[in-house]
Amino acid sequence: MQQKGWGIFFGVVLLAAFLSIAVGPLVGWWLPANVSSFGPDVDYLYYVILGFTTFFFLLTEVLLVWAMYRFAGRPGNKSQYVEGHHRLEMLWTVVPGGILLYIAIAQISAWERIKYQAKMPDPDLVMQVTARQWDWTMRYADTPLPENHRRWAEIPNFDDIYLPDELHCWKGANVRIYLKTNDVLHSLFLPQLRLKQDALPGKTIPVWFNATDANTRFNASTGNCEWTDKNKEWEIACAELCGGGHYRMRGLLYVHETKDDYLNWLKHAQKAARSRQPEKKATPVAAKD
Amino acid sequence: MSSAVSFARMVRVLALAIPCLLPLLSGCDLDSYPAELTYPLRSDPIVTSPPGSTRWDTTAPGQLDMHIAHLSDPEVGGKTLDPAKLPAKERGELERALNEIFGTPATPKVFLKDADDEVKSRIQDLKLDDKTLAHGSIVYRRHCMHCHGVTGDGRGPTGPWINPTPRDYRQGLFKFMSTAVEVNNRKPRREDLRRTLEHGIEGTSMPSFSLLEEAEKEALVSYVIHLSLRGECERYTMEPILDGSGLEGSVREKVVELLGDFLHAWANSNAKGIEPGVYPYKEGDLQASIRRGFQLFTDPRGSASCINCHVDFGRQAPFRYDKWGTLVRPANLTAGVYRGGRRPIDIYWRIRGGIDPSQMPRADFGDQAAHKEQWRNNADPYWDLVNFVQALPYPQMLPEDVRDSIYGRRHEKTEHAQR
Repeated sequence: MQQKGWGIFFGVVLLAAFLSIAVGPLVGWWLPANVSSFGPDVDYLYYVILGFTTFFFLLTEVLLVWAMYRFAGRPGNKSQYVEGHHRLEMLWTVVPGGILLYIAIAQISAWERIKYQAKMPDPDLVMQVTARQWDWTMRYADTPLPENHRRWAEIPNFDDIYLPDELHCWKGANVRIYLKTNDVLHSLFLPQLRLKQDALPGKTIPVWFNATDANTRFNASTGNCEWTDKNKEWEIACAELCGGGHYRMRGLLYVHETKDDYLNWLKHAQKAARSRQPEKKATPVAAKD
Repeated sequence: MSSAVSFARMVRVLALAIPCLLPLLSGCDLDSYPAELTYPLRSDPIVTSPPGSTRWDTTAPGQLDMHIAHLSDPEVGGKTLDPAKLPAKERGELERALNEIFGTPATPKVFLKDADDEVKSRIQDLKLDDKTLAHGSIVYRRHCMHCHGVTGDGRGPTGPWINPTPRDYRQGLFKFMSTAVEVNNRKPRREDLRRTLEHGIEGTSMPSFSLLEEAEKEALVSYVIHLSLRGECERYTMEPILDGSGLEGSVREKVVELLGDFLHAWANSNAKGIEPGVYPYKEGDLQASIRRGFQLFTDPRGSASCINCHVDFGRQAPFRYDKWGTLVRPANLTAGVYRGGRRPIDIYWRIRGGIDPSQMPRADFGDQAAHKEQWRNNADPYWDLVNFVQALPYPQMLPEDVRDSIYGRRHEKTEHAQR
């Protein structure tokens, strides 16, 4: 009887593991809010793959635990030697093969829409992002759409604005980012925009997105961008292990409500970037009580 | 095999596995130092005079200390002092004095028992109160220490492997300052350290920390000043003992005296910045200003004479020693990378104030009466240089003759090819 203990033990552990994942959506551990025009395409693929894997995970684990329990060793009993089963082999080769083929075909349209350079929509706003160990430098032109922007991505202009870790755009704009890296591999990851792209040394890689929701408003009197909602602090992360400071390649995504709001911010940023006078900001007081 | 044995084994496996996993629940504590940890006394050589000669190669990764140890070789020609030679008695006294005044990583402070009101107000002006420093020390541990080290010596675990090497605060020297040039023993102002922290240093391994909280950034600035004060007091107490000139009073008296001087320098610097005055030009004047800047830059006998060090606009600048004993080179100004910041005001401060520790002198056009040539027609030579340096990486911004003399015909060809 006690030989069946292992079967029960693994059954309980696996069940606990499965339940701890299954309750995820109930306690808020799920995909971040989607604010991307192509987000549903990505999420659909995600759920399709999750569905397949969950089904087969449950199937195989239930069989495994059942077999462990049912055929637990009995003293004096000899094991049977099984040479193989041709039809079964065929079955578990053809079925996964079919599923992989389905996924390969199902993802084509999403890939085409998001990653094909020739199919990218004409941008309303262009910026160039350079990753390095360990921060992001965003380069903005003095207008949202500089002339000949492919060339501008390679040859900076006199009037460009360099800003660490802050990505600004406006709701509904087709944004084109030319992604570069100064040193090793990095990956620009905007979870809410369902966008992830590796940055490769020596290459300039265009990516695009269109944000369907805004999270910030420019306050001209303070010169700061304020969150419209506390829960909408959208972060930028690096998704390719790039060294000891990988975790601190954090940035913030500011999606302005309107183009005008963005332009107001841009004007302010330009003024700061071209400052010919020391800042007149009063330095705030030391640590709080 | 009996079933009881295998059940007992299962229990044993679990009994072993659970304690192994328990530490994961506690997490690791990033936010405190052991109470008994003190700042270690300096052990790396003190560079009292870097070699004068220039070299073309740079230090190999991880070799900084070896490189500095060889600076005093006769063929290199620098001078260093070895703190290992400090007599045991003085060593003990210095350690006690520094710990008493500057505290430990867990409880950093700038504390003088019988400080007068002036010193107290300076400590307050520089925000070196215990609470801010303790906060700064924690943030420093998390974000800075792996490069800049426990004592701010620039020798954290990552430090030796990056070039340029992380700043060693203990010399009391900093590069990017907006402090008025009249101030003796110039130190950076709090705003300068803030700017470096927020924007990082382009072209080096110093990243931007712009997303830290306001209080964290302020506390870090205070803590950097604290480490710098401690390191400088340590260095200049060690120096007279090591070079044989000796101390007048006790070691502690020397440290206290030095601290007074350095606090004075920091407070003075913090209070007084370079004021650029009103920008003299209108938008349309830019081309003429750039041309004048070009002339000032390239005149080898002028008051600026930038071209003597920034050879070929920095494209062929040779390496030279800075005051830390590391090899650096004047910036390649055609690259469009500005370590001290790319705003016009940043470049103005570099030109007007110089970069003392790397031996970049300040451009000095003195008062307008003495340099009539450069100041005529309401021109401002400093802004002329700033405008030129800013336009230099962008050939299309330069007047045609200036462009040809910097980039030659080659430029036109590449422009054409890129189109």
